[in-house]
Amino acid sequence: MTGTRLSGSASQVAFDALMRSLSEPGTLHRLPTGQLDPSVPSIAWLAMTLADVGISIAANPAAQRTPIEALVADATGATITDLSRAWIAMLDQPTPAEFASLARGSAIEPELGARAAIAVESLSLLPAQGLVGLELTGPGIPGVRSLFVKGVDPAVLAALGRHEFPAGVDTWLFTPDGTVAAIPRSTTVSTTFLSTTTEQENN
Amino acid sequence: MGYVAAKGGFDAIRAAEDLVTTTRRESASSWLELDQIIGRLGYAVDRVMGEGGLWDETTAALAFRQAEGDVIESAHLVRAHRSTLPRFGTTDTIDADEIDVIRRIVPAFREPPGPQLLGRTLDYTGRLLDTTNEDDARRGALEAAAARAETVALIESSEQIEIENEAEVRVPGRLLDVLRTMDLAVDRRTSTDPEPADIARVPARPGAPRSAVLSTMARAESGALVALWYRNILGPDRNLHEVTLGEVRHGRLPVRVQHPLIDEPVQIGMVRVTEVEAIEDLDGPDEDRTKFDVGYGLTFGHNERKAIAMANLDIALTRAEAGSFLEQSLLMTTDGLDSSGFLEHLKLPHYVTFRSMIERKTTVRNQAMAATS
Amino acid sequence: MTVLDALPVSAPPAVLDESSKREIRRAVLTAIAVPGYQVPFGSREMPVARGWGSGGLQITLAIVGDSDVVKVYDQGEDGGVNAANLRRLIRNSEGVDTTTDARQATVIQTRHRVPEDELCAGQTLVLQVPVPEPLRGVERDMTELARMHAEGDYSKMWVSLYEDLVRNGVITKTTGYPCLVGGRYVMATTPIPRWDVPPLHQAPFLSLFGAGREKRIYAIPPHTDVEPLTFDDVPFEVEAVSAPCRCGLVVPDGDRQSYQVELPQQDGTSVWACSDTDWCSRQRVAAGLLDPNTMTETEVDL
Repeated sequence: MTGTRLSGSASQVAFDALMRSLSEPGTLHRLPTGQLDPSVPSIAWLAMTLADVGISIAANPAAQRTPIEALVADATGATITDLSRAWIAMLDQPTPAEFASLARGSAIEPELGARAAIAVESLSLLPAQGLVGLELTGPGIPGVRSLFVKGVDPAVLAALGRHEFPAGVDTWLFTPDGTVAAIPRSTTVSTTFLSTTTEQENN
Repeated sequence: MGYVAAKGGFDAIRAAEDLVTTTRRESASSWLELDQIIGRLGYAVDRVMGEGGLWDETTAALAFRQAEGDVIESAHLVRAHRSTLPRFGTTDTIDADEIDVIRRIVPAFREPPGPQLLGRTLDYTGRLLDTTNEDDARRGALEAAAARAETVALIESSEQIEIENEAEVRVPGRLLDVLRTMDLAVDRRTSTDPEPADIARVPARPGAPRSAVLSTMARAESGALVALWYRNILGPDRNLHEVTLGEVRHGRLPVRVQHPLIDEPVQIGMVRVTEVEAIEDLDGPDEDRTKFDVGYGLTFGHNERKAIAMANLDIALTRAEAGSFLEQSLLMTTDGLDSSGFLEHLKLPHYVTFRSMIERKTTVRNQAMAATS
Repeated sequence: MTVLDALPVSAPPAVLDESSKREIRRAVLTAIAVPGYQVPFGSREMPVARGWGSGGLQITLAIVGDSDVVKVYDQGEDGGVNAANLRRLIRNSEGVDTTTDARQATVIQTRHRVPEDELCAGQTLVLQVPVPEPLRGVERDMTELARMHAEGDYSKMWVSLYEDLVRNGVITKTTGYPCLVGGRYVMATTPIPRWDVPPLHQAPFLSLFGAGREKRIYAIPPHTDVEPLTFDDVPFEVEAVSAPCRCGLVVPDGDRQSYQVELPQQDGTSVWACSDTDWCSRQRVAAGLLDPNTMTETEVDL
């Protein structure tokens, strides 16, 4: 039975995907999409899983094409506010300015930094035409990991991760079909490049 | 009964629990009813509500009976019960001036505005142990209860006598207003109305707003506050000079919420509280000697000792010198569950850590011997 | 729709309601994003007392689901009274399966030990923390402590280690050795022995630390540096292995022994035993020193 509200057990499964993806940045994980009505935008999952009364949420104008803020507020009891004060921000095609407006917290209170859910067209561990490649290093990553993203302004991708650690924003990237990858503020995003070749897989 | 090294730790727990429940159930004494606990051990019930941070006499009485009279254990049961209950809203702000007093005294003035109502208190009862023969005492109580029941029935049936409830008398003015009129009080009023800190959500740390400190004290362990107060008035901390009490009140406050459908405030019940205002005669070199400062204390139930300590410590905090650890002590060391839990955790096995300590001592000793040889 | 309707509904009444779980989960995520930083959280009162594992318990209750298998042990021992109590609570509250075998568990809640077994990716270690503040011995003022962590100013800690070395000839820190995590935060490893510090460094598993009484959660993500604080010319020392385990198990030279604890005897001598009892039993079974049929199941489903 799907609806617009996550059950207790579905919340745990979704949280597990969010936690695993954050503790191993750049790896791909699946949300239990069958647990919510398909009309719920994928970027709503972060707040649907984590928010409750007392948590502030916001969506950027592009994401507000659907009534996503009301949807999440009704389902969780969260408070709607503006992007700069949201604890959880839901972003569709965010501009660099919009991403820059999110709360970063401070060295004394890193926990006040925002969590961002950004909609992407696709995610891949392998390069593909039209995807921007990110090289990730830092806690949770043995050596270097590459993550390929389509559908986000490269300037926003460059703004993800470690810039003023421990202040910063923790970001999850969501595809429409419920695949998620995370880039916490501890991750160094060192290179972004547009891939121009497609790797052929040897079978 | 096995302890740590015993395999079957689970069996050991079961055995321990059986001991507790059998002793409780098979006690030679009569079953202890909840109304007896609420009716005859009210101060304990009030203390449990105050330290548990939950207003409900039945829950507190249940906890007190289960904990066999251990107040901190009872408060723990109440708070753990609270953890299982979803919190789905907040009440409207309660105006303390709406208090319906059961007792009100004002030590600062002989005749304050609004009456003093000595009310029910143990303060002036002689501390003489009542050694009336048990049978006589029991009989006396039964007779008195029967007589009262008769009177009440008579009143209800006659419909003649109406007890007048003079609203103004029962909701007296506040002494602080008198001091303000006399321009004797430091004015701490602000035009902002910040949201009160919720210490159940965000743990309070030094630097937290006053609301966080007051909330922490409101559910602190009574003895901890009294001891800390004593340190501050006569002990080594000395952040208090000379305090006179302004208001000491025991009364009921109405609790209201916004009705979800008609969007208007609705009273859902009343809580009984003890409220205290304490007046400090400021005497510090940087303080305004022409004025008093007033501290505030409030706690569930009838617990004057705690509310007075709280009001005193509220001022002590504003007067404390930089570098004093009063705020840190208040916020971090007065919670009964935290302090006693951590204290008693020492009973848990610590042999892994102890072994590591012995190893270091041996190493240091060997090091010293090697150095001298 | 009213707020009551909006509440996510938990299954049978659990020890923690859904909103409490969400509070813990939010703190866990922040902790993972800032490795070693003590995240404040709205710690709930639990059926176990403060100081008795309420923080570790809250984390375990918040993260486990139907497919999880949980191990709970204390000082290395599954059969201990406190561990058995916590394990029962978790099982009854969340309905999860439990085990004593660290290799089978998806979540391991531990008091003061890291498993002797090598854990893998996907496993989560939940450590019970009595005192989360590693700088507690060198600074009393909480505001100053917050500043030190915020600015990465650990000079007082270094001075204290140096003075210890000069005074005693060795660094005498026993358990809970302070470590630098991710090259940024100094962290209290909880009272695990020094023996257990190396497995935390660049581990394949996630470690979560719960301090219920102090209301802090912190974390070490997998593949993260965990470096015990010491000086370039003073190697970090783990507890020396004093004698073979009384069980008769002999570990080949060069292999890592297990952490052992001393059992003083009536006649003044001492016998040594492996602290990790389940690991020890399995090694003995493998070595033919123990008949698996004599190992009894110590649990009964309530």
